[in-house]
Amino acid sequence: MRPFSVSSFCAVVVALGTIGGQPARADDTAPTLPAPVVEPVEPSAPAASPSPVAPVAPVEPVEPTVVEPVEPVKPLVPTTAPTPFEIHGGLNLRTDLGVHPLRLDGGVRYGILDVVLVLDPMVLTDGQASTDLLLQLRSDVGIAGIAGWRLTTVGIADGIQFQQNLVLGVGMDLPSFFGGAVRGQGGLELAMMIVKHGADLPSEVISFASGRHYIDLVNFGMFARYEFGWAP
Amino acid sequence: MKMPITMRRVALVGPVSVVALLGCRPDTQPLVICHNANCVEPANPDEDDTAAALTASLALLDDDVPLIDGVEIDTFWNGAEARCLFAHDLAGSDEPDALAAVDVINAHLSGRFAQGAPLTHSGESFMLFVELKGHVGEAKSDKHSDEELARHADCAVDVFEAFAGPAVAEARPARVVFTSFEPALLRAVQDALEARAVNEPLVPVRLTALFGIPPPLDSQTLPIADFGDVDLGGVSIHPQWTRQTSQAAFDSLGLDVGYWVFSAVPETLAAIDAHQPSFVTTSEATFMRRWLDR
Repeated sequence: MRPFSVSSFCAVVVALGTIGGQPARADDTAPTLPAPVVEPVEPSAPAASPSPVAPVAPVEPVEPTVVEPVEPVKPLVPTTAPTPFEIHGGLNLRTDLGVHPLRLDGGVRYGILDVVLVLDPMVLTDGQASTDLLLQLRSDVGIAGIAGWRLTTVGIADGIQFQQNLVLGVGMDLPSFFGGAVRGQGGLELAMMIVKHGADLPSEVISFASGRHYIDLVNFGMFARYEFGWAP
Repeated sequence: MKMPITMRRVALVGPVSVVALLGCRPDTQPLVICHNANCVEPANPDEDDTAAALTASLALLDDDVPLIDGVEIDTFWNGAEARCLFAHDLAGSDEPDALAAVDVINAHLSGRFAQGAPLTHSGESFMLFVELKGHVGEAKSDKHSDEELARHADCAVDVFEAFAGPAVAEARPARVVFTSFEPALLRAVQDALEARAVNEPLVPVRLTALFGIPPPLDSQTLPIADFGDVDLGGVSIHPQWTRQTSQAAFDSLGLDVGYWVFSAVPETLAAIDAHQPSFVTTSEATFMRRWLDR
């Protein structure tokens, strides 16, 4: 399913207009009319004329004319809007070191909004996991604004440290495969560690007092996502 | 802490431990060096290079075993006052002379040595990193004059001698690493060491170049080629701002590679796992130690 677009919006308008009895286009009335049939005109008898005028030739009977039904004009947009609701799932990939190179993501898309949850099965390899909850605002041209939160858990001796990150980014649709069954998205993100806490260690909150305060805590990354979508 | 980390680690069960037992973790750990004499959490650069933070950092112990293997102190040449300071910059006031930091370190090490207590986590000799700051005023563009280069280098060698003296007297092995972003300063230290005939087998010396945020984002980091006439033994790099090709170049030059960071994030930890630096200079000694011991 495609994101909610101008064409989808027009489809909704057309559908509402038809329901309300106001056709969106004049041509749309054509298929609703019965095929008009012109009854043949009976030849009338010559009227008696008091004057000696040459008799008028009798009128030829008119053949009945049948107007062929007009082929309904297809509307420019479908009159039934596709459902804007979709469930999707796939892979979240990257090469930078901010999170594991392979994670699993899934989500729900409704119109231009897409809520994505990213899980990290590679926690089994090193005890570290990054879980994202992201909101995407998608546009007609395949570009999406991304904002969300990343919770990174770091396993250390005798505890787990939690690092809370603000994630901001932009995504762009990549070519799809298998007739659109597999879709791609690439993007750039900024992850900013806002606070780290846990494991009986003092909490640290980001500061912008100087570059030394945040040099380690603000990082950029590039990602690619490939997903299957399903519209119920 | 109730139990030594090493004992608690034995008790750990689960996937992470299984992976570790299968040999997926490096056999050797990087040495943990206290960044800017300030590695008590939370990381707070405002406390860098202060006597209070240095004292607290040296006191970081787990079951009477130090969490760190050494300390980095900064020396700053105050051009206006012609003084060699124990300071990161001129942002503070009333910074002590550089030798004041050595006094704190010597007192700590001598006291523990007298008690027979371990001096480092690794059991190796204590490492003192001396970073010579590359500017002499408020701005990073306030560079040393030739005279200031020589006097700052002399100050650094003074620090070495003040640190090495008690170590030699107590037959207590130690190491000193002079670091700087500025090639001219390392060159000046090299000249000063030669001029003063510094050669103490019990306290070996190494020169190490620093690399951080590259230009044009920051003016401190210079190409490795600029250190051409310095007898470098290693480099200390910021893992998030150094390209992998640069790390490969350092390796190919046979340089000892270490990292410096303030606050560890996943990028830091992944880089340590991937490249296994020989040391990590950190502002979070407890976190780093517990992460290495996980």
